[in-house]
Amino acid sequence: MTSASKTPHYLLIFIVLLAFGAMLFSAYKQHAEETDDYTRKVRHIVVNGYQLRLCIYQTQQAFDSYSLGNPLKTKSGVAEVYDICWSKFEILLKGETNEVLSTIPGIHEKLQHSFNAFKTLEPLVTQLRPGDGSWRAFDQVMEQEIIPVVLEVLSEIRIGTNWKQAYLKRSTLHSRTLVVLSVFGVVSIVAILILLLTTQVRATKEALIKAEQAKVAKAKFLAVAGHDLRQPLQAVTLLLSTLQSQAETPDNARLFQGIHHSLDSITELLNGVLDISKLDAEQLTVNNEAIALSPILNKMLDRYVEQANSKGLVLTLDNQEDLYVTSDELLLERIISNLLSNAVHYTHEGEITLSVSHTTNSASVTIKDTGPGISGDDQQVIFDEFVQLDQTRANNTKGLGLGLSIVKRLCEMLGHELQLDSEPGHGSKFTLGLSLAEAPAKDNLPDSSRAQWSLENLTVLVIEDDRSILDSMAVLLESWGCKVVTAATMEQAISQAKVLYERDDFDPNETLLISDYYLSPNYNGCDVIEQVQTILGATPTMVVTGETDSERLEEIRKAGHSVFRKPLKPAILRVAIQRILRNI
Amino acid sequence: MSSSLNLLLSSVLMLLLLPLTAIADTLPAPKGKVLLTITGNIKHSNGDGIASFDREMLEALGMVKLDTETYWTDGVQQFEGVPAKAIFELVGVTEGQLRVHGIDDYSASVPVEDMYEHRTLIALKNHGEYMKIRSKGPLWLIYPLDERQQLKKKQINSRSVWQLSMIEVL
Repeated sequence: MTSASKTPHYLLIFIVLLAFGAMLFSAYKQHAEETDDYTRKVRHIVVNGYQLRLCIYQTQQAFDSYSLGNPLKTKSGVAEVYDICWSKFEILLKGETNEVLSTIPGIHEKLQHSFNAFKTLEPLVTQLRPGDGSWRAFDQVMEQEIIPVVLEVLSEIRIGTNWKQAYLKRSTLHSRTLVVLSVFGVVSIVAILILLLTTQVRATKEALIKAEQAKVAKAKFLAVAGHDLRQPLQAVTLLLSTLQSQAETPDNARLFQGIHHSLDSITELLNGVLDISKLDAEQLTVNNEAIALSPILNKMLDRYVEQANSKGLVLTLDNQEDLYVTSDELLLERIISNLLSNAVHYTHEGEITLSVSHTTNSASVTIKDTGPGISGDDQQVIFDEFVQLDQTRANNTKGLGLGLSIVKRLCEMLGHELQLDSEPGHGSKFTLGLSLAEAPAKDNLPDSSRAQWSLENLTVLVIEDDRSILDSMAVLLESWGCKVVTAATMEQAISQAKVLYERDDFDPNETLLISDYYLSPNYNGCDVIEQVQTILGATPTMVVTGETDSERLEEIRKAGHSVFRKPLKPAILRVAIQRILRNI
Repeated sequence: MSSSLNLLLSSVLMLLLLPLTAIADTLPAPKGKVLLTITGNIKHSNGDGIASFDREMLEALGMVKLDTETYWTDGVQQFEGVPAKAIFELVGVTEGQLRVHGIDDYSASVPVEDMYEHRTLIALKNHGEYMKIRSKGPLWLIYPLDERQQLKKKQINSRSVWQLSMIEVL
């Protein structure tokens, strides 16, 4: 509607602009012609004025010489020069010449007076005889009435006087007015055009800002909603694991597996949607630092090995060295996780290899599968949002087609190079290029004395305000042989810690604190851990949260705690606990 | 002796040449006061490569009327005169350049083309009276200014020679 009504608007302005332009052109042309005409007229006056003076002198000379009896011309010659003089007077007094000359006040009257005096000389010319002495009378009129006036007129019209300029202004008034009007017209139309355009640009800008604000609002909403969605998911996961450990039989094992897969899918979908909305809103912050690659790869292997095995795939990790790279730990995790998830999803038989290689200053992480492969055309589109290949098989499984889009955008943000080598029927190979970093100085070496994998003898203080999660977590941990102490508030945690500390078998190295982040409006998990550690000392810690804001997660990490996002699967929780205790 | 022989010979030659020149000169000689002299590259003359015209000869070519305004006069002027074309046909000039002289020593360059294309007039009369020198006569080269607007300005003003007395064919 608006665009339809604005187009003719501009067309009209353009037509008016053209009209003014044409008007300016014609007015300018007219003005040039008028100026030209004026120049000719003025020149004509000046030339004829000087000719008149010359003619008067010639007449006087011819008359006087004849009258004195020493004739330079015949009598008819005298009459002829007198007549020529007469005609010169008339030229200045008639026609357009007079019109122009009359712009000098009084000039016509002076010339006319002089011409009248000249006419009175006619009887003297007709009655002229040699030596008649009439030259005295002739000269008297000439010297007194004619020559002074003509000289005066000449001085008035001579070059350098400004009457000509005044006449030019008067005679070109019309065309000059037209020029000024059309220039004004053109300028105002252009001004209107600029005004309209700037208004439109501003409107567009405002619309863009609004759209941007809407995007941010959407991302914020999704982040909050995501946080709330994670809580019940976490509870369900833990409860399910507990139920499975208590009630699994060979008959219902497949059912449990199915429920676990569905929960995984919901978690994946949730993470994908949250990530893409954050990328859209440019809400992700990048914390580039030197990070160890091996723990991330191990974690990824743990996360997907079970899923791969259940599909009959072999997932292997080929990582020979402990490399450090410059990246953002959380975001790099997302990239590798998405690529692996993608590989597991699309590969139906064979193997998936996660491998690392490096040169002097760069490292590459390769995810290679034996899936269907991607054709050249498809390679152009797979990084777009909501694109899924292999529709026939993918239709009935999870996914929104966001994974690779997130990978691509995260890689762009982090400055990591992503390369895809694939051919239909020959599998796909995604290679992630990273920069090597210096290994940070290690302040705490792994405690080799601890039994590597066992969780026996471990005391865990779980702080969680959600009763169902707290209970399911306790059941789960106890099933692994841990001694579990639970607390729902800071007060409970402190009193439990005091009890723990009093116990004979208390060992800070064999005690783990697991806390939820959002506990109360007054304090969070970090605060509680801080308080508890004043009693128990520097125990290993772990914060589990539904929080998705990367800045907040980073904050928790910087406080010295391992951070895990809800929902946390039992297998991952177990591996995580082992890694924390081993300081890996 | 020899001088008288020379005189005789030259007299004989003169007598022989007279009829020849009379054949070349198709124009009659002017009887009255000469108003217009055409010199230069002309085909027909009435004496020594010059064509001279008195008032009678000019009027015999046929007078036409032309009412027009001029730059130097007030109001519409009623001119009568001979079409310039008739005069130039008579002296056998159809193209080239002319230098038109006035008795006040003014002269202007005029293309012959103007005489044929623009109905120019060698005017003798204005408002029914023969023009005198003081009224820019006795002859005035008049362009029909009102009929063809493109003639009005620029060169035409300088080509309208008044007090016209001599035309030089270049």
